[in-house]
Amino acid sequence: MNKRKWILLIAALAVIAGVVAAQYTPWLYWTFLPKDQIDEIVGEASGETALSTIIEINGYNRDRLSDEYAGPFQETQVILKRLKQYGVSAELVTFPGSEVWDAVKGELWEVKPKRQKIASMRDMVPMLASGSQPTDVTAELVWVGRGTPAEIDAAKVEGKIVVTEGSIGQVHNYACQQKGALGVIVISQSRPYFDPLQMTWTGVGGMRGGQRGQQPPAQPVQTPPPPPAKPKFGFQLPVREGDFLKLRLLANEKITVRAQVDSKQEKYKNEDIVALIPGTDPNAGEIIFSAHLFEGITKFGANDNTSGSASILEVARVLNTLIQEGRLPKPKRAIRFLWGPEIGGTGMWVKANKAIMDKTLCNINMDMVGEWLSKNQGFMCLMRTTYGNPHYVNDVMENYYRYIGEGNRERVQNRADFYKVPVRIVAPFGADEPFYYSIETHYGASDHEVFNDWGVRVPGVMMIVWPDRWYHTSGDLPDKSDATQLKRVAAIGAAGAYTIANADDNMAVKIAGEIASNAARRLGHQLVVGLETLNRAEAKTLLDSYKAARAFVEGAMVNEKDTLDSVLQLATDKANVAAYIAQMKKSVDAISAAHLATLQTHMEAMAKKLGTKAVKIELSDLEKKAMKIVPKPTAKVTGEVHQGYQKYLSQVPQAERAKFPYAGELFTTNELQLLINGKHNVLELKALLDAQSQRKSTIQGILNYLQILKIAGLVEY
Amino acid sequence: MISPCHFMKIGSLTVSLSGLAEKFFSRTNSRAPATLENSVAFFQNTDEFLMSLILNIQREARKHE
Repeated sequence: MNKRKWILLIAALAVIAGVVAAQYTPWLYWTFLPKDQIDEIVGEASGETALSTIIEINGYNRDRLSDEYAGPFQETQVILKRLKQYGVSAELVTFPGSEVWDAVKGELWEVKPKRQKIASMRDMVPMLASGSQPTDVTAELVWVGRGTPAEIDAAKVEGKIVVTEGSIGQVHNYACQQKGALGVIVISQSRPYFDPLQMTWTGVGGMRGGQRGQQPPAQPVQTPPPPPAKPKFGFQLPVREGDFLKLRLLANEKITVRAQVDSKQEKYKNEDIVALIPGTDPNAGEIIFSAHLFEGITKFGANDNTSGSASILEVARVLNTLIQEGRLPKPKRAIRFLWGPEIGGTGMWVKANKAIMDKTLCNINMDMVGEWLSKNQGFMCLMRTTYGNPHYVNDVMENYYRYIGEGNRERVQNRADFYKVPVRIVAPFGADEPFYYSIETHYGASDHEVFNDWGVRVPGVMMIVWPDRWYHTSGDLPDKSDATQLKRVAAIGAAGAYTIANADDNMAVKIAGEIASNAARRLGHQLVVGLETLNRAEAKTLLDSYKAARAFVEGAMVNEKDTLDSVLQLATDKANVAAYIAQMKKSVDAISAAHLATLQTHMEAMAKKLGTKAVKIELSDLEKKAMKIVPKPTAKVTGEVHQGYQKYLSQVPQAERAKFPYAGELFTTNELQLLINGKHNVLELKALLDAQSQRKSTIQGILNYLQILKIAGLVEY
Repeated sequence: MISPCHFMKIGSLTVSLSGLAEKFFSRTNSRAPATLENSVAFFQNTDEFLMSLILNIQREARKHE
């Protein structure tokens, strides 16, 4: 090759290299904690360990035996044993319980024309519906289809056992309790085309009666109210097996079965386990993890929620190990862990520990976190707090969700790199797949709501996988859990909590800066929602639409500034950090002002398109009045902790309530309660409510509800 | 996570409180987490009307015990 060819070749290679180097690869892999610390946490987190906890507690759907009710339950024993093994200090706290239905025997055999077993709780515990009462009957089966009253009436069910593919609760209530049927057999319709073997945890005469997984009823069933009669019995078949029975009955085959049920009531106590990793400064506050170890006493679920329990246990192990071995500095603040019965048991412990709640900064709740994501077609979600509980914990957790989520996917821009997956975090025996994650608005229905309660005021986020394709079914077993997912969840939980627990002023500033950055993104979303609100306006609704559009930005702006203010609780040099936060709040103000100007421009464009005049916002007398009212909560709100304020609300006389109607005028009273902080005026309260929902609240509705709270002695203004 | 299905009937209340109390707090239904606290938590983001309703249900339920 001559010199000229060499030059051309080198030039060509340089061009190719330039093209490769010029890929627009996004960079999303930063964390609040320094790299050496996050690497320690990720390395130590063991998904397999968490999975082994799940298997030990919930390897199968077991029948809890009588001797367990004396306590501690097996779940409690496993968690306590492991905490001891990990060297984490823990205690068992019990609270009064109640009585629980407990299955002893549940056998359903065909006796004519064949002799064969149809269902047995030995094969699968939820085959016997909870609430089933002792019986030993031999009777004919009768098919009642979806179990509408008309179908049941037509089938003449008295003295027979009905078979349905409808709702076990509704069919039982009508056919058994009103029409003389002896019992009910339901063919479970829980995701029949996805998993024909899964059955919902269901019952007769009780709460789970009527639950049918995700499938809506074929038609509204107007069942008359049931009389307060004792339930009879119910059996459940998976759709694959149940269809054989259905086809035989539809072919008018006469089938006689013998049902043998034995059950009893067992007394139990509520068991809470509390563990603590101490901080170096007892006055600096705490962080609390929660996960319910029990969801009822006789319903089991590997992912709901043994996975959350196993994961916060793994967080405790990881942090304790790293701190004890000197691989992480001792944190300034304590990290507490709470396991117990869902919501009820959590609430009992919280109510009994007001002093701890008063110094707790935030809550991280794990509920259904172990799901194998691709198997479940699920996303690992972070359910944020509402605007009523603004807190930096949202942004701290998001930081680690993003790090693992963006770091564990291959991008087309990276395809030529050696590290196609930039920060690969995979358990050695877990799934090698992306971390499908999503940062979401608030959702309740789990233990974090105890902390978010108006009487507690500890902002709580929930980590949860949704959807779960085996949710509340017999199929919620460890084969649907994934060690990689559990490792990632434990790493996120540990990193998030440790970031807060050990935050100094520098970290506080770092967090505030990231909140301001995230605020720009979130406000951008609110802007486009506002723009779309205007796009849908008509000439006569333009003013209302414009107000609504502005509220999306204005409410979010207030929330972002409240969130920034929350960071101050981490600061030692309050004045210095407050000065930084003040600057960040100015940034939020400036972004919001720009967005509001954009909305004005868009409103004017819409007015032109609609052939009407641009609207102008002028405060009404009511709005002017609302601006001057700044309600603040009284000591009664948190005086009796979780739900304690309800007592005062219920004492407001009906005559007084009638004077201040608010029904249909408020998006939610609970969020309004939380938003009352002595700083927001009523106009801001409306914006904060309106920014979170398409359902608008009225100023009069807010004022009326505030009057009721005032009469109850819960707010003053 | 508790399911909205557990509480649907409270939302579309047409039956008496005592009937509901029997239905929701019957000693035979304990496989489900049919507690006041669960109901409250589920309705955390709904109206006070429902919350007070649930409290009434609890009071009625206690009378049955």
